[in-house]
Amino acid sequence: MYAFAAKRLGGLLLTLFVASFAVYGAIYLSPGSPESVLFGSHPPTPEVRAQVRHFLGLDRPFLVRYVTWLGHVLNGDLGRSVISQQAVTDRIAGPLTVTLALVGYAAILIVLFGVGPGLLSALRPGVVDASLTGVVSLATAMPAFVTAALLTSFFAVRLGWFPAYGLDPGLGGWLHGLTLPAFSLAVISSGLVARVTRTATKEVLASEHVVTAEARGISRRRTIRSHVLRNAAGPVLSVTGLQIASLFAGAVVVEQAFGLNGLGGLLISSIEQKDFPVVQAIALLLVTAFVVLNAVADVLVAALDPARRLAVVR
Amino acid sequence: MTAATEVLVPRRRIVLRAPALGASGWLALAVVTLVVVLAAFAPLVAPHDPDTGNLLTPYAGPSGAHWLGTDATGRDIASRLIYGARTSLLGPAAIVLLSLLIGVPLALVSAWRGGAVAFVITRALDVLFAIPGMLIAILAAAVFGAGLRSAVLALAVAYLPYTARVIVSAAERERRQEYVRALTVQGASAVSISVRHVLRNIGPLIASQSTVAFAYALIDLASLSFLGLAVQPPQADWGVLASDRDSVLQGHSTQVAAASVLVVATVLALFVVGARMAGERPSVRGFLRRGRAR
Amino acid sequence: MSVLDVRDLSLEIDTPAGPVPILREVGFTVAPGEAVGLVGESGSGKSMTLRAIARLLPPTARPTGTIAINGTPVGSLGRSALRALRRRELGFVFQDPRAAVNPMHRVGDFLTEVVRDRRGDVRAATARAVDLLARIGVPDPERRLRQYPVELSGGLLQRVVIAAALMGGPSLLLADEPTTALDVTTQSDVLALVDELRREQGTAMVFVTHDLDLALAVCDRVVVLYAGQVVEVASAASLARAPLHPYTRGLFASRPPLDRRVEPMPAIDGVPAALADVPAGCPFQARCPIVQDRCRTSLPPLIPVGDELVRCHRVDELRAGTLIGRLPLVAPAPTPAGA
Repeated sequence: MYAFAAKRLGGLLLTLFVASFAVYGAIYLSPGSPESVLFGSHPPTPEVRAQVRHFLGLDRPFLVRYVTWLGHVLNGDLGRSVISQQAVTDRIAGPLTVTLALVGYAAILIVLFGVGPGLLSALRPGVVDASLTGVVSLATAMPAFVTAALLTSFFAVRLGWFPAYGLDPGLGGWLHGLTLPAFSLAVISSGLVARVTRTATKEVLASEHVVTAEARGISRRRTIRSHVLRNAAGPVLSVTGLQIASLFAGAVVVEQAFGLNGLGGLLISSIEQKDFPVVQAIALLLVTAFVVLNAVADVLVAALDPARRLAVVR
Repeated sequence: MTAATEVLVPRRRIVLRAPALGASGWLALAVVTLVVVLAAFAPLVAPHDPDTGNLLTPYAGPSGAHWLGTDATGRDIASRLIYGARTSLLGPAAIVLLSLLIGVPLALVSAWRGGAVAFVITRALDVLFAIPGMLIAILAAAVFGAGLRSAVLALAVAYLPYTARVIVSAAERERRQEYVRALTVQGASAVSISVRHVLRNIGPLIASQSTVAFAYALIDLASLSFLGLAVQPPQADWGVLASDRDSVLQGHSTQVAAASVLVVATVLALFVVGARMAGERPSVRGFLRRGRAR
Repeated sequence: MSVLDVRDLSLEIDTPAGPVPILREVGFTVAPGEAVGLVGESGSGKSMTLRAIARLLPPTARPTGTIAINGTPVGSLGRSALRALRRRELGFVFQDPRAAVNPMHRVGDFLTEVVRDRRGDVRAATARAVDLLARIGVPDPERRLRQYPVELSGGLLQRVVIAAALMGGPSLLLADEPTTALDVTTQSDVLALVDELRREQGTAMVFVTHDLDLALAVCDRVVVLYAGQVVEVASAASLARAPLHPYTRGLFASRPPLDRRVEPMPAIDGVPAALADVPAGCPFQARCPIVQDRCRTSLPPLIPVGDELVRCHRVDELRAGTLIGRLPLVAPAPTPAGA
């Protein structure tokens, strides 16, 4: 088990390393040099340009710059915004909390509305299953921007229960303002989780060890708790983890749709402004969150399964 | 190929027989066909020019002349949606095709060579797998500027691991079959075995998987257009049309609703068709029958 | 009163292609403490019969007939009564122990699960489990209780499954090919131990297998199934000495003898049939060496012959031995347990 976790950790670090390289390097593929943004439409003299480049450290070789950047990042220094000269860490602090709150809210919704219906579908075959599966199928086809439009038009514009834009301060304000965005994010992921949960649960229900439990006269409640849920937990956890991880990418769309001041919105505006340090930092953060969450889910799933936990000695 | 090998090579071509699709499958196929026809024959089907607006009649309601009304600058919404089908379908098609063009050879090489080559390819794909596709596309927009081309390329790259993974495992499975060994012994080259036999046998799998990938590409590309990072307004595209929040906030939700419905319907139809092609056929009767207690 | 009384058990399964018949009027009884073998090839419906007894059929199954355990008809029991019956009277041993035992639970938890479900005395149950495991040949049972199924070999795990079946002191053990997955030495070892435990507790057994010799060695009586129907019922002794039904004789004859070569390998012509494939008349008609016209049109009833039952039109000729020349030669059978 520990060997597995260690190996997974190693893979994670390698992936992060390569991804950070890609993130850092990609920016420099961009046509036009990064410092040109600062000059706007006034082409500078070569001397001024050289000074600025030196100031921004752009005159050093690429690999050196990459390693320096990585070193800074690991020390918590994400550089300075080219536009505002503000430390990137300060710039993204606020938006980070918004995005975390949004993703957290959506994650809870996914567990409730994904795992729940999936289980119900599998345990109550017949009409319940058929109707839930229909709804779930529809959900898996609804991208976040569609759900956002739907919810806004109905709950914000028509009913006025929730704001269509922005966040009021305070916990209540945040809960209120994040509800529609969180639901928009959660719908498609819930659909996928529900589908996998249903399939996994049905598979376990049909397995021999559930039949054995029934043959021994074990109560239905215990069978479901101890056998079905316990054994279906692996795949369900796996897909839930994957979906929650992908929320970080989907949040970009939702934040844009609801005018939320989160990492996604900041990413888009920084791209427009060509504020590369910020873009790099946010991209790195999002990738890291995605990779780490997936790895955590993988390790948890492995921890649940005795066959993988133990060295098998026959 | 000798007569002996003729006998050994399994022809596992799954032909799409009509009954295999089922009622919902046919309906889904009809939806997809309709959308494709709309896109292909847009100039013939659309009642108006999608880009010409009449500023005197903004936000008009549905009428005989404008089936779905007009948008903020008086352009006919229905025509824009019909023309919008073009980019909304061509984009994902390009993504899937590119992804296959690169992914299939890559996967076959990996499955065939094994060893170090496979290791490197698998690791590279793993890293690609680890970064969400949308993020790759957003970064590509940052690097190369927003536009349909960079979005399509970025998503094609992002989808590589999904196509490649499925094909690698299927190809590895095929490779271990008897007939491949027989053909190799006879001196057939890896390329010819791959193309003529392995690909043919996993063809249905690729087809089904590509259909589903097409659906996801549609979603991702539309989302990117929604963000303004792929198709740029004023070009008509379902993603762009669905991003018009101003009209929604002013109470005119026809355009956004119609674009959304089109996206969801097409994606759902593609999912159903893809599933049927893979041989899954849940039926309503099946649901109900399983429900009766023993 | 018999422990098990199966009468006119017929079974159909609903499929998308329509109802498929599996069993037809299967009937037999099991006396207390008796071991009855249910022998047949694939498609004979023997496993389905066992599941029908415990009411473990899939929801698409349509059984008819009566099954009574210790006098209680099983079909009419409500859910909790059925569970109580399974807990108290039945023990089920499945074919594949790895599939039957939940890989995520410890062996000890598996063995005491029924008791824990009823909030019974776990300590006593654990002690009984240790005792049973030791009796059935599992070394170091306390340690095994704490392990997971993946840590046990197949043979060991099957012993655990058998022990679990005997935990509740059932009056009837239902065993579906319990030793098929084991090697031959382990097989006889385990069966001998099961026999001992059975005799102690007075547990009856229905032993499903495709291996006729095994059934003769282990069981007191044998029921031979072909294509979902009973074709012969006899005590192991008389069956071993003089099988009557052409199918049974064919089964006997197709065992190649150990002491000499026989060319060609003896076998019954044709392939085993399932009930769904069999037309009107005798199920064995397509492969029977003594088939007549009436076999194709009318289904022979089970005709009593001494204390046996045989489903064949020509049973009198069989008994008189006039057909010996046309029927396969029967190699001498190993001495069965009760002979």
